[in-house]
Amino acid sequence: MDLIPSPDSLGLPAPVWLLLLLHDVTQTIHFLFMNFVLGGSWFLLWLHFGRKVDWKEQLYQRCLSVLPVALSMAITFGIGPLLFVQVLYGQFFYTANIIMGHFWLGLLLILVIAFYLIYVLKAKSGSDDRFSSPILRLTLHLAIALSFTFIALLHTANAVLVLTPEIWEEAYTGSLWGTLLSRSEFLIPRYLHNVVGAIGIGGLWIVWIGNYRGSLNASDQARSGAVMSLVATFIQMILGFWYLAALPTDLVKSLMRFDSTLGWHFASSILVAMPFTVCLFALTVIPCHRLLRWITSGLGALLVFAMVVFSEKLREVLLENYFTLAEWKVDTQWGPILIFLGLFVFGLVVLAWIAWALWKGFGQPGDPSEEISS
Amino acid sequence: MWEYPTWDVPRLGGGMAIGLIATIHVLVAHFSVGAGIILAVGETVARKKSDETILNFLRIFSKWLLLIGFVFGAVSGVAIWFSISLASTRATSMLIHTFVWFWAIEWVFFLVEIVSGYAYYASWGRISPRQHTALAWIYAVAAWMSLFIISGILSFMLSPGDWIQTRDVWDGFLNPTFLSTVALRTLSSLGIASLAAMAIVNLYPKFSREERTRVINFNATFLWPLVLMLPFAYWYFQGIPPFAKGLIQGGAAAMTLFFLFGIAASTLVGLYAYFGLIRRKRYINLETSLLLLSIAIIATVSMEFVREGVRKPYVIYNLLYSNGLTKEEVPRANNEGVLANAPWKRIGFDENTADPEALGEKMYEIQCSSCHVVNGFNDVVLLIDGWSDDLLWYNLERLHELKPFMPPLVGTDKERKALAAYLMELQRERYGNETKKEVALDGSHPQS
Repeated sequence: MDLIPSPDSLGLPAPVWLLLLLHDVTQTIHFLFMNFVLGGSWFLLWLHFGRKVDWKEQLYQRCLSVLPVALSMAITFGIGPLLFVQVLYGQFFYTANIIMGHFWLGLLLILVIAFYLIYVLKAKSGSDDRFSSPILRLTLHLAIALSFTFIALLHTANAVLVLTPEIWEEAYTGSLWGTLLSRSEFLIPRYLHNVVGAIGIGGLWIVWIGNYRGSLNASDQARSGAVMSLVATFIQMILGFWYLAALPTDLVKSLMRFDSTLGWHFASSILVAMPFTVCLFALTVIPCHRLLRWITSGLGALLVFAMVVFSEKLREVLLENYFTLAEWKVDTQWGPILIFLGLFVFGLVVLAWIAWALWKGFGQPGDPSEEISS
Repeated sequence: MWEYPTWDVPRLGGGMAIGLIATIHVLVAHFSVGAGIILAVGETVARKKSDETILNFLRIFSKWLLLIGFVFGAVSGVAIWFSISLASTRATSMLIHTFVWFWAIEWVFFLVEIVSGYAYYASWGRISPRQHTALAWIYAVAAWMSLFIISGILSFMLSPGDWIQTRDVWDGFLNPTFLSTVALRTLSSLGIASLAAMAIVNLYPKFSREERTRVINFNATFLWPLVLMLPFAYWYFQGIPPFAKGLIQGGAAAMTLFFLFGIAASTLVGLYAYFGLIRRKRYINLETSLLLLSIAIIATVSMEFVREGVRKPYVIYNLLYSNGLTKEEVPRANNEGVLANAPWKRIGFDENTADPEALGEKMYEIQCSSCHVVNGFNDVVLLIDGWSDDLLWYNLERLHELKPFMPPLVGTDKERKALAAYLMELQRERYGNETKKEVALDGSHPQS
């Protein structure tokens, strides 16, 4: 296709598999944090109506304290996939960015405003410091939740544009200023699938927060998260079928026959989703069961990873008529790779020490509601 | 060559959009790095001396760091990536494909920086003083290492050194201005963070005048190194390409003035810090500290402006021009034509049937719009105000000779003439037939 730029002549500085692995791992961690940001912002809106109940008030304060940290982590871990997608699919990614240019850059403006609004909400959430106007408080909650939901739309639109070079010309000429999202048929089902899925995983975070030290009515707190997660997971399954139906027919047939790598990736996602849903159901009954929480969360993380890998393979398949990763000229920079890996491991050790120090420190007696907000 | 579509930013231009975002981010990022050093050194010293005033201040300061550095700084950092990929796509791709592992290493430090920073802020009084001080040092080292790595990539763009021949990533990273860039940015970080700290302490009435003076004098310790700006700038100057040196040495008056202002302002602030705040232990109020901070910010912005300005006409020196054309591609662009190598500009456009002005508009979009706009910042029409056809053509033909900070105009004869026709049409549209005194090639005024 004439409009697809050629791959950068500098080639890849690492084998494709390594870049893909790092892309998928960092993308998964990014999603895990982002899921709480998106799901948690809507959950806070719901909780906000029931703050007269003690345990809901406590859960509200705790979720509000975790939200900005999770957002910061979502941004930090989002840099990884942003970096590696540019290396692997730069010619598609950059073009998609430019086509939706103003929206693409505007996404960050919305993000920074939403970030500060969380801190405004946090500053005004104490018992002495609340907003006098309930409408203002509600507006703030809605603005935050809608901002993250809209950002998700922009990200999905970008991902869909990357996959559909056949609509680039129409999209670009439709709006030279880059104010067009995407006209692909699978934008909306993919978007809804992502958003509802995020709420599903986000609910698991609430299960953990509800079980945190010193919780009032811990089982009520944790159950509210488990129920949210379960309901969202069921809806997400239905949306998943819609998303599948919107994909090219040949591709869907191939998925159902399991006669391709993509088919096996699809199958593995389903295989993880089934026990995950069962565990979630059990968690709504016994939300404080420690082992069950770990198993469900592990399965949840694995499911997100499986979905990320599936999406990655889907991209490869949808773009194979235009470009394959095997076309890259590879000239591996082993020295910088080893330095990166060494520093990465060292960084993890440092992070583990920080986690240990905090865990020990926050175990001291104190007001539980202040433990994670201080 | 021009394989990507263009991103149009009305009134401002893509280049200026990048510049604005990058400048704001640099200021916030420098604050974050400098603040780390102040927190680490400050807590170490304050714990040793049991100085509760300094500790109370550092606790407040860490909250400001969180709100400015971790919120705005993290998002504006991503905004740079987004904006450069929109407005300078090919350069972004080259930088990413060359330095992906250095970006990845920087990301590791950034991750540690963010986590340790949040932990530091959240754990005042909750973990042992020793552990808390260790957190401050982890944050400070990670933040500074982030600056260290980024400096290698940024300085590469102006002085790629041997990389141009060898394409060895280490030649690119360890380039002639790498270390001097690290030194200059470290100074700037300390200056911005310590002046911000002086302003911040003045915002809290709970500190008495005496306590504020102590905090200010303590922060001045991080300010006096600004006197080293002159030798470090000289070191940096020695590493930049000869043509860029020439621009600073009077080749472009704006560059010379901004460079000198940056050095002079920084040095003066450093001298004031030493003599006024450290030796004579003066107090400065909110207004004065904000004024000093503003001067330091303007000095940093000036130096950033010079760094970007002297790199022209390149984005990556001696390789890629600011309009997305490489040096090697110039002959091909002249032979095959510009439009033939810009598929996105051919959509719905037939070169054979189009007016010269319409073809010229395409030429403008491809070759000029990365720096210029029509009706806005760096307005191309203002720059040719009053020029005759002949004078314009003479200039366009020798663009890179008459204005060596601009890339050469390329394209077939027909394409270049079409650009001239388009620019003249813009001029007529703006000023009507009664243009200002028209200047001809020989310097006369044909209409007068």
